[in-house]
Amino acid sequence: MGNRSVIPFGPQHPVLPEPIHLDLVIEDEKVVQAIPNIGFIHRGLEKLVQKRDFTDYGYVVERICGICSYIHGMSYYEVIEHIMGIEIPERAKYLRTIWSEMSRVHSHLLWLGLLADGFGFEALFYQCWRLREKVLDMFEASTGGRVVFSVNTIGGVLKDMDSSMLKSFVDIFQDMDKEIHKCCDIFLKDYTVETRLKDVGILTKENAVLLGAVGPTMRGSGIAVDTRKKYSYAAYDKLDFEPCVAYEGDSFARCLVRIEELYQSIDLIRQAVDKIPAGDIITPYKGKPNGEFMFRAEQPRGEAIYYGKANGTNHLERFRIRTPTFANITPMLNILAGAQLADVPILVLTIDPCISCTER
Amino acid sequence: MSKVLRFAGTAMKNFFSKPVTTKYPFVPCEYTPATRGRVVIDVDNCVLCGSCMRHCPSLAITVDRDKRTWSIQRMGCIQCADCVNNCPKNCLSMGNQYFEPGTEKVEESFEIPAKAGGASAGGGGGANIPVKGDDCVYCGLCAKKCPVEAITVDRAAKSWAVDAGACVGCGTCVDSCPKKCLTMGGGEAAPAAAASPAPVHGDGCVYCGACAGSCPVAAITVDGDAKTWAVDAGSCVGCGTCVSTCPNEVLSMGAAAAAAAAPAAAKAVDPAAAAAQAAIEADLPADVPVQLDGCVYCGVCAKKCPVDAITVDREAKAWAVDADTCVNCGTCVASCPKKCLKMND
Repeated sequence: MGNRSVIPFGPQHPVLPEPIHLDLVIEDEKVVQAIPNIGFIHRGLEKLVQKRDFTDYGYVVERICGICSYIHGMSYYEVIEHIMGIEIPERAKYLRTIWSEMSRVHSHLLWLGLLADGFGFEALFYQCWRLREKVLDMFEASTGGRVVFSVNTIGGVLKDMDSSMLKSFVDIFQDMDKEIHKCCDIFLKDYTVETRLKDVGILTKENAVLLGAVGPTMRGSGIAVDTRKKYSYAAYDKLDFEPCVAYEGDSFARCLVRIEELYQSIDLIRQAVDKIPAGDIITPYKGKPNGEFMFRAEQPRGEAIYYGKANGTNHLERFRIRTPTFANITPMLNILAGAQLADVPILVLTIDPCISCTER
Repeated sequence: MSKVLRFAGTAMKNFFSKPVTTKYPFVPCEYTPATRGRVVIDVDNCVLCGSCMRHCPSLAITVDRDKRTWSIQRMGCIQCADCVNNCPKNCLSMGNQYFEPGTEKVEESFEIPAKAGGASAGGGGGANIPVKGDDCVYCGLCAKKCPVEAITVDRAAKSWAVDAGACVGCGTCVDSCPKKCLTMGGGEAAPAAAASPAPVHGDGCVYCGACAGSCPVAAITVDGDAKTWAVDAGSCVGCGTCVSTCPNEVLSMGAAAAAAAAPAAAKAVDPAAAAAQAAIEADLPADVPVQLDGCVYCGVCAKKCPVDAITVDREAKAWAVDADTCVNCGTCVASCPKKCLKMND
């Protein structure tokens, strides 16, 4: 038995964009146990639901996190719409789907960049973020915001995309597809990347189930579950896709799942643009919500659960979000136990941690 | 291709091509027409309805109807466009230029010019001083009961007059009239001083629903599609918030619901209640709000309190402040539509 010591990791660490603290119990170079500590950026946004009108709180939900912004906002409105029994127009459903998938593309490209940065491949990091910039430009042209979109409302969406804009987006994604292929080939085939990702941080299928992993972390361990497919929302039931899976359970598998999802998202956008019907984008509504509803959505990081309880007044009683990162922290600790100290930053990154979401 | 030097092609291409970044600030950034940069106000159309202020999720907008100013904290604004989407007059819009970054928090204030004719014409509806009906026998009871001696009755000359400037709109005269010939419904006193008459609805309503949104007790129902407007006199507390909210100034405090006015009047003369009030004031530490006479239990103070220190029970006509929770901010005093709160001294 070697020398045991405790190394603090975070909340400030070059590899982490957001604060999470881990106490790493190490034996020589090997991590024996990791003890997490979160709560550095709690902002009390869930409590704010009792102070803001239900019509205005959606803008607060969107600002919980900059990367998951779109799906957070959309899910809040889906909860309210389900409570009030509002059926949104078909076109709005398709628009929500398109924007959801665009946000998945930008989130995964951001993550790939961070991963490259994590193992010191700066040039690849810039390459990924350069591609991501195009998605942000498309978001700005269609919604008016680059990061926080504020384009949803109760009963539908506020902005429409005309056919020429949709077509130009598909063309841009067509070009991007080639560039993403070129860029992602490096992740999948380069020797340097391989040594850092292959056979490192294995999460077995049993552990993934047992510890409640979600999203690409779970699908990287061979579980083919996707909330978009299983609890279909927006227009996903009309699109043709299968969950992306990898079976090895190591860092490379989680990276592979996200790369596959990039192509899948681009394909879903193409399908949605082909099928999008003409018509209204918003259904007028009356009254105030009364009741409760639980909604699941597939964030880029995995399944998020939204619970809303309304009491017939202007303010909701409760709005609770179970974020994917929160569910993935336990599997992450499982991955960390037994890893080399030098691999810890990469392993923390492979669950795609989003601490702002987790702490709200 | 081999496992090494996979990035070499991309690297060489980047090495010989132009940079993908622009030379900001020498080359200015281009925004799309849809970009939400900052909130722009068209001062000529603004009617100071305050809808933007009530909706703003980050509380960045302040509308002051008395000073006729519309102010926005530029650094507090989150560019969500909620104010723009809720503006009944469409005088707000999103410009696509961002506000310049800086080291200080900037608050921009805009003067809203008074509308020619509009304000005075609308003000004429502020009806909450008593008017005499045909059944008057000039008994003079109203003049006797008036707490501010605003009414003059001359039995000989059969004349009845009210001094609109002195009248506080309490409704005591209406309650005391033996012939029940008085109603609240005339004059031009300030709406905030209304006793408990329900609002009445004049011509020119656009059914925007601003009044319904502002009502502290949700007594007003507006249907924009069916173009109907209704007030539930039973729930109305007569606070006058709707009148001051109405962007088109078509609302006024009208016909007195005598029954509704009664509790407020009764409360004012009840010595036991006054004594209890004095005891409460003596008990409370300095700098927490105390409730004075005139409270209609509308609950606006409780709603506005940032720390939920105030409890208002309309049924039981009870008002209480938790001195331990109170942070002495004075928000309740500023928000009280009846101006019946003050900070204990």
